[in-house]
Amino acid sequence: MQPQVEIRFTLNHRVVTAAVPPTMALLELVRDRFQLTGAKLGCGEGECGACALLMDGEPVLGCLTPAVDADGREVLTAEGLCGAKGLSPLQQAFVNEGAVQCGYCTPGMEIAAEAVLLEHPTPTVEEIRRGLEGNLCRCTGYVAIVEAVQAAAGGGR
Amino acid sequence: MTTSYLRPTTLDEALAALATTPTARVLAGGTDWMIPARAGAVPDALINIFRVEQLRSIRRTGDALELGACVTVAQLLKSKDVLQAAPVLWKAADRFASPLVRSRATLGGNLCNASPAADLSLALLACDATVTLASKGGRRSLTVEELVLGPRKTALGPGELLVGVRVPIRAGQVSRFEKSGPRPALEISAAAVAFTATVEGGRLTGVRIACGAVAPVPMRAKKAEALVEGRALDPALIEAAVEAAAGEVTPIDDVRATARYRRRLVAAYVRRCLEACTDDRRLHAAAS
Repeated sequence: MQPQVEIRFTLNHRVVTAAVPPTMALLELVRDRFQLTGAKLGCGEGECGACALLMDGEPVLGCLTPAVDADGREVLTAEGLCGAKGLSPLQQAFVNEGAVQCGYCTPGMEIAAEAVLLEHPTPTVEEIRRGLEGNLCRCTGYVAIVEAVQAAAGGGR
Repeated sequence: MTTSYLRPTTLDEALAALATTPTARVLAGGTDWMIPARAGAVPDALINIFRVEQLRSIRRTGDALELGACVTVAQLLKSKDVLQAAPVLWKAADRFASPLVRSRATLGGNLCNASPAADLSLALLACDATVTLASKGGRRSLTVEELVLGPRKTALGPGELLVGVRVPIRAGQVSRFEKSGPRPALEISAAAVAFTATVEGGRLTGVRIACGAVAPVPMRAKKAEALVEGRALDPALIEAAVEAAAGEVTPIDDVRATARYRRRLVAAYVRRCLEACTDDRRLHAAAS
């Protein structure tokens, strides 16, 4: 039996608590306990970025981050990027630029892109590409994705 | 078996916990550990040191850079001190996995995981870094070669924790970090070379040629280093050193590359590093 560790953290702007075993991944916690299914399990070993989440403003892999480490932190999923009025400017830019095809990589792309914009409010194309280098899109949509991040940066965030 | 989980907040607490349960698995960022853990490999006890603030500092003293064991790769990349005082480490960090991994992967984790392909360990080997191991009983200092004994095997004793890394600062150092792969991101090196030297009047001194993923542990190509040490480079000398390096590494065939290809990569990288030292423009780029 693994011990259940009590954790308390902010998930999409709301304080929540959970009891989790030390080997549980943060991805399983947000998907299975909190029904936030935006982040996806892709490869499960840090190669694809489909499970990306923001933790205290830093992009992390949901599949390789122990859920216990969320304790005391602020976790944001793609659902949490939305404001009261719906999609965030970045998310709207993904729609406008046609940066979504099958959509499986999109929540992870949005999180990685949000991290780029937090670090570089007006990023260069190179900074965007480096920021998204851990996120795979298998529909070959990178150009539109980079354009969406550029549009969001130029759109008075 | 009951698993215990501890999350100390100070180094003293961490060492006390490790003294009580010397077989505990130490957890830092978890990027290597989560994969076997999720597959069911549950340790008897787990000590999570990722939030021990004392282990997260980057400090530049007069002649050295002092890095805590839980400094993340993202922290290395954001540090001007690392860029200036240990440029080869900064370059290895820049080619390390992806931003999503860099935010959690730690210096100490990369060393203690003891992968033959560990890029940060390789860079640290090329800058003569030493590591500090601490236990309740005291401290000791080892070189990277003394720490990493084999794949997944280190010199850490029971109750010992790697707490920090010390990188001596060498003025006027040039460096390069060369690594294989079809794209920069998320590449586990099939071969990598970390190079540092001081170039004065066309002569190389303090030459370090560290080769990764071509032996059970990150290794220095000492024959190649000895050939060029204190000498002015010319094409024949460069070729002799390239051949020596390719000859002294001991790569294996595996899923990522054949041994033959790995030797060729080492040869190409060592040539690139040495040729850069003969070219003022490239030398300048390597010094940044």
